[in-house]
Amino acid sequence: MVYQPEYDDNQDYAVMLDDVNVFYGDYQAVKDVTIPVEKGRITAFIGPSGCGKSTVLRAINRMNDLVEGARVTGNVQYHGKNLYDADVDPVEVRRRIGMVFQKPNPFPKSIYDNVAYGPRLLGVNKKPILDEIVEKSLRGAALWDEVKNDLRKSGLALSGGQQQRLCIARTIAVEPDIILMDEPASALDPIATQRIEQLMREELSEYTIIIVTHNMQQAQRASDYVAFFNIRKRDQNNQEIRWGELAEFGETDQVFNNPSSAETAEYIAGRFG
Amino acid sequence: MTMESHTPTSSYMPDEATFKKRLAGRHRRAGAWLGFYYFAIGISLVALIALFGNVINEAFGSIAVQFEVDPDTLTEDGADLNSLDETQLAQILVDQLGGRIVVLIRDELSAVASEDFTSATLAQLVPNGTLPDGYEDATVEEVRALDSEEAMPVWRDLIALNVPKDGLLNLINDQIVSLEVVGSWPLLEALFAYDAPSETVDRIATIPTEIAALASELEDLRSETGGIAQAETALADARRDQADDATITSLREAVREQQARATDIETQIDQLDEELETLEDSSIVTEVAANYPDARIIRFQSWLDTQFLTTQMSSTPYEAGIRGAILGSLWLMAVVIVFALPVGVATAIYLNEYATDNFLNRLIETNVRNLAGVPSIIYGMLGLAVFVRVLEPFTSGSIFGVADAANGRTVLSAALTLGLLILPIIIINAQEALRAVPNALREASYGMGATKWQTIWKIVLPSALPGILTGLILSVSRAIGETAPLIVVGASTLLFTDPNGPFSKFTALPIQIYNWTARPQDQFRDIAAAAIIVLLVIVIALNSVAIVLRNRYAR
Repeated sequence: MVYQPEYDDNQDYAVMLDDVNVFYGDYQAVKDVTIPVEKGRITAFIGPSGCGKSTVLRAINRMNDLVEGARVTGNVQYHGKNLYDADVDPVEVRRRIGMVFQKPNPFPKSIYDNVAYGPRLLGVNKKPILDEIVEKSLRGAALWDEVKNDLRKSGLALSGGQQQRLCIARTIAVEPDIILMDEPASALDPIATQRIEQLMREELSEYTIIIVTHNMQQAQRASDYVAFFNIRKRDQNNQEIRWGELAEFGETDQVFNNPSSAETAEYIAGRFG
Repeated sequence: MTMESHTPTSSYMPDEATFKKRLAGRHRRAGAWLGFYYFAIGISLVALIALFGNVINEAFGSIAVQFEVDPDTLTEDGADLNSLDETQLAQILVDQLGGRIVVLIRDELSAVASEDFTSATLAQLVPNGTLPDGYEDATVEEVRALDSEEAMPVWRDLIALNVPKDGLLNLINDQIVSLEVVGSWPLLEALFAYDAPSETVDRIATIPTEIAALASELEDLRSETGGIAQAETALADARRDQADDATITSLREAVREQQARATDIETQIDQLDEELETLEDSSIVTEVAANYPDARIIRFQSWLDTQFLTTQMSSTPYEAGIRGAILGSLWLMAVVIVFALPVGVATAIYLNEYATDNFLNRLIETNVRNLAGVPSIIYGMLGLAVFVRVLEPFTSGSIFGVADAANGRTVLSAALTLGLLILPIIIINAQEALRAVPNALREASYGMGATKWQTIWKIVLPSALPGILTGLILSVSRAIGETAPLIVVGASTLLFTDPNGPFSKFTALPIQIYNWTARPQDQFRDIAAAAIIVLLVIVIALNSVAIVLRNRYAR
């Protein structure tokens, strides 16, 4: 049986994943994942490599659509609407649910143009308004003071940590509801990592954030909720299979201090993964 | 040198002695390969130097020219024509041509039709020009009727006031000097075999007298009273007198001796002739002195000069230029880019960004790659069949009312053919450039809520642009050097008007070079070499732009 977390049917969640399955061609990568993502809080996805946590994350803003042969079934409930309904435009989904990637990937443009890219896509072209958006977004990503004097400099000229904060600024410039972060600090040094975590706690505290991380301490420090994914290798009939499943979900303190399953406890203690 | 191993050696590893031996062998093999690399680069360098050396050797060098009138005799003190003013130059024309000056004015200067020429006034001849005082309303007939003391200054002033200095110099060169190039020599000969040493010159001078002496000796020997005749008469006399055998034998011997002497002299003359020829050919100066005693040598003549670049085709090499060919090549280049760049880039975008991985798309892509290897002449056949023949109304411009007669052999036909030729290369290069754009950038853009088109237009294309342009420039520089398809499509070989648009007849640099190298006269090969330099400069300039672009945008 697949683990089912407890949730309140009457609560208005930011995103409600309900029995989500992801397939790549014939291969099932993730099975029956159910996660309630609470508004304005930080939810961390943890688990060993290959457990499907990034796949689930990318299912939330339909980035999987870009992968040939990828297919998602189940219900990704967002404002009372399943994101995989036929009348939902993935372009709109991605504007509401922004994403920050593992490797900092600023566009080869100036800092200003990086941040203004999203608003311009939406047709905001007036210079004073763009100026305001750029400043607000860069402040929101705690980057303004470092770059305010050379906004014309290429985004690629910044350090790795600054680049990642630029990517966060770029994401919040289109004012999304939810920010998905796919291991945003894994390519950064400890100090830059700390800046990102601080940013999530302080400047981005209004946003609903879902973060995938390999770093247990990071999950423990930065998140309010933790979803632990694991790889299932045999089904109930002892047939060989291989897919990712949700193994445990709960408040961070509870999952780390009092895990309900033995495998969660082992993973958190560093005995595998 | 020995290095003791500090770690225990496993049994799989060679022992110390074997290791040393093999190490030496490994170094030897590395050295041998390095030697091969040096050899290879040496060959490339030699080939390059030979290529440029050959072209430069042909394009510069000495020429021998002959004039009908020596330009130095035109002025009293032999002053340079360039230093004279318009009136003096016009005076030279009038002095030299006499009455023919009127014909010159009719053909070169007059604005009225030739049948109205004699009855026209001078003011009508040059409607906006300046006129000699007092003769504005005189007709050509009236001025001609004046006596020459009075008429010549009028003609002189008319020409001097209305023809620019360059034009006057050209008229003098054309009408009076009539320069003719009688011989040309490549640069190496101009540098190293220009003049012969004095002993050679002396020898050349003495050989004819030696030959003359030998010739007169031979003539004497063979004359009716000469040595051969005498000996023959003596022999005949002896036979008639029935002299004894010994006498006859000795007389017969004497005849043979005399004949042998004559043959010997002939051989000597032949040898001297040969020596003379070799000596004369040994330097430019002696060769010209022997063959063109009236010619003047210009030791360093560059076939490549501004006049060569700016004048039209001509059937005389000295006057021929490549203006039409350069303009034709530039027009071709422009139309090729306008046609091939958008089509090629659009195809690459479709194949790379939109096409799913199915059989049809794989087939298209494989074929594009194969087309890049199809010989260019086959594209020429295609261009002839499709653009020149089938689409003639379109490629000749007659459909748009631009051309009077339908003739599909236009810039447009050739450019479309060359465009097809380089299209696969542009597509392949553009695909490489698009593929090199990191997927992370595409994902970032999609993640911001960009549509596919916005992502391609705002992120992917700008990032791929340097690569696309590099590919474009390299393929255009290939197209500009193509000859075969243009010949098939039908470039003009002799064109006296500038190509001035996509619908005009045209020639191009490689066509011009090809035609000139096929001519028998040496001088055509010299101007072909000069045109090759121009073509090489254009191609190298294009490739440099490509390199600069690549370096500027290299990450």
